Amino acid sequence: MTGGRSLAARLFAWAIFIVCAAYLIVPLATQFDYSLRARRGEIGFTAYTNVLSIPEPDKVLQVQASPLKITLNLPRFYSSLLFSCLMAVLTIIVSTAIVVPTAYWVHLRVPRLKPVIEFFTVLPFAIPGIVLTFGLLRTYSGPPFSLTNTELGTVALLVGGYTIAVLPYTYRSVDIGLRAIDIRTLTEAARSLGAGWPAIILQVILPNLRVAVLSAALLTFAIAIGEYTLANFLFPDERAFGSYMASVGNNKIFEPAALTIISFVLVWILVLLIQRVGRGTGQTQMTGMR
Amino acid sequence: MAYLELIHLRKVFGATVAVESFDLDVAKGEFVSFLGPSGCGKTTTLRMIAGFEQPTEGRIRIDGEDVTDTPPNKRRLGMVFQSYALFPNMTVADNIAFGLRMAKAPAQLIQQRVKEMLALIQMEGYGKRYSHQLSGGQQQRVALARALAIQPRVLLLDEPLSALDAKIRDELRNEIRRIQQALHITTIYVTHDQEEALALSDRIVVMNAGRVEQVGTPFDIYNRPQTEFVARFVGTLSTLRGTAGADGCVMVGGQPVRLTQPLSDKRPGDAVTIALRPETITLNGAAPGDNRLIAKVEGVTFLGSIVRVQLSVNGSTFVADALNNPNFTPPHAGDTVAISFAPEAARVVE
Ligand SMILES: Nc1ncnc2c1ncn2[C@@H]1O[C@H](COP(=O)(O)OP(=O)(O)OP(=O)(O)O)[C@@H](O)[C@H]1O
Ligand SMILES: [Mg+2]
Repeated sequence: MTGGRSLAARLFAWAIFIVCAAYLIVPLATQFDYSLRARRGEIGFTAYTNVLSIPEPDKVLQVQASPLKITLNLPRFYSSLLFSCLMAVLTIIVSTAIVVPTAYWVHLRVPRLKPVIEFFTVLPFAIPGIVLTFGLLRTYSGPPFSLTNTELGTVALLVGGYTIAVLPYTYRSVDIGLRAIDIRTLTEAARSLGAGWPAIILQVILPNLRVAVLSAALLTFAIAIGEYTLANFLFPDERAFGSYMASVGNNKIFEPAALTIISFVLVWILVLLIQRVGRGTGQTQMTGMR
Repeated sequence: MAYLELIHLRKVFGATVAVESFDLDVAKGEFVSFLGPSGCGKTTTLRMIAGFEQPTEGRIRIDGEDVTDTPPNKRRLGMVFQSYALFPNMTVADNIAFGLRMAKAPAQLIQQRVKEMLALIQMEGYGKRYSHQLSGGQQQRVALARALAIQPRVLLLDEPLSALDAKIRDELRNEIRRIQQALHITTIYVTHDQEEALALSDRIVVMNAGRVEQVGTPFDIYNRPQTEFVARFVGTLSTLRGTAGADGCVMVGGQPVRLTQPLSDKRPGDAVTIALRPETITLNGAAPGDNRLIAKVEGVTFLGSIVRVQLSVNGSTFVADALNNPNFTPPHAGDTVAISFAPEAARVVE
């Protein structure tokens, strides 16, 4: 009887799994199939080589690849990817530097404010990206801030915007990490051993939040790489990867499909990398769970 | 001169008075326990010494220096927690080295001190392990070594053995005492376990509801409790209810009991409660001058080295402890036995 029931349950579970997997995989498969048909009557990687190949020197688009005014002679696929990666890394650094100490302090000193902070951190879910973009632009593009007047200021604005946009993920992930360790006692132990606050955060708290910070970083990266609205308004020269993807989508036929597959593969490589790093600190994770 | 001075400490949390008029002088190298029931303010007092709580009133001095307003990381005290609190991201050696690294000690000194500490806690060869690879007892040893590595002025321990099982607890208890004596380090030890306090301490501070009830050596506290609270909290107390008789006797169920303590404020016929330690009551054979009572046996519990007999006289139930030996025949429930105790063993309590 139990065997029969569990068989039915198992079949049901498999059915659901197959339906969900199909929902995700079928579009990807058709995209892939489509991306291979750039040449009539032929199956091949022409669309991919169009996206990825380094063209003849005279056809190279000159694009500033970073706020540091380094001009690289790269196809736009690479330059925009590089630019967005840089923005993503900056966002990860800034948001970690803000979220970890804040969440730590709230846990340690004002735990009753936790619900309030949580409310603020989920606001970006409720605010559409376009609203955030215009809000930031209106506030910071004119006096007294005028951030958009300089390259560096614009980058700061973009990174600031991304930091807010990813707040729900970063705060939540760090919050869960903090709940898993006894931060109060660890803090007191460190203080009695002579540690000041910077040493406690950098040497005791942060290392024990490694897994949480890594998973937040992964999400931040994925979001910042593909983000379109804010990047496109702040950098109308379509410097960001999101803008590039959009322009390819508007102007090409087979290449967008190839680009979809390429960015999908890129994200997967990233996930695997981060999991590898996370597993390298297995013992931290285990004790964190205790 | 006192090494650690707690001067009229008081701590209030909102409406709760956690600690009230706490005065204590601790000599250098002394081992002092704070003993008391849950919520009596032991941890709060310890945390004020450590600097994690700011006293509402009062001062704290260490070696003549007023540290009341010094932050905890500048007090140079060692702290050991009930939950071990080892840094999970660091190896045993790194945990022990942490305080020295914070003090920017030279690498060579750190390495040497870590080695010494591992030897002290008899855990050489465990330096590369992480805390989750250690047993609870081993973790607490490392926590002790970590606290001692900085050569703290005072070692503070808050119920360090409570999370361990009985056998390890006894073992580590002796270990703590051995290390404390070897290093001659001034130590404050918080516990609610009277046996622990009696076994370890040079002096015990018995606390109740935020106040100090009595400060004294284990021998004093056990044998000469100054308040009924101390008498009841430390050790077991057998109480007998009776009435004051003529000539300073107490009548228990019609049987006279003589005391050395005068019944000054009692008139004949007033209710009197007398208290005895269970081990002062003898079941077989009285010495000359002892009180003798006929009692009924309610039950017998065999505890290994002692046999605990539940007795009743005139409706008061109490226990007597007899040392176990092969020639001793324990009574059975329902038996009537003659018990005896010396007049000086009995005290009148309220
Ligand atoms: N941070 C705090 N805020 C409010 N009240 C507190 C705080 N810390 C302690 N108290 C109160 O102060 C009193 C003393 O607490 P304390 O922790 O010192 O007791 P304790 O003797 O260590 O007890 P236990 O044996 O249970 O650990 C208790 O009534 C407790 O509720
Ligand atoms: Mg306590």
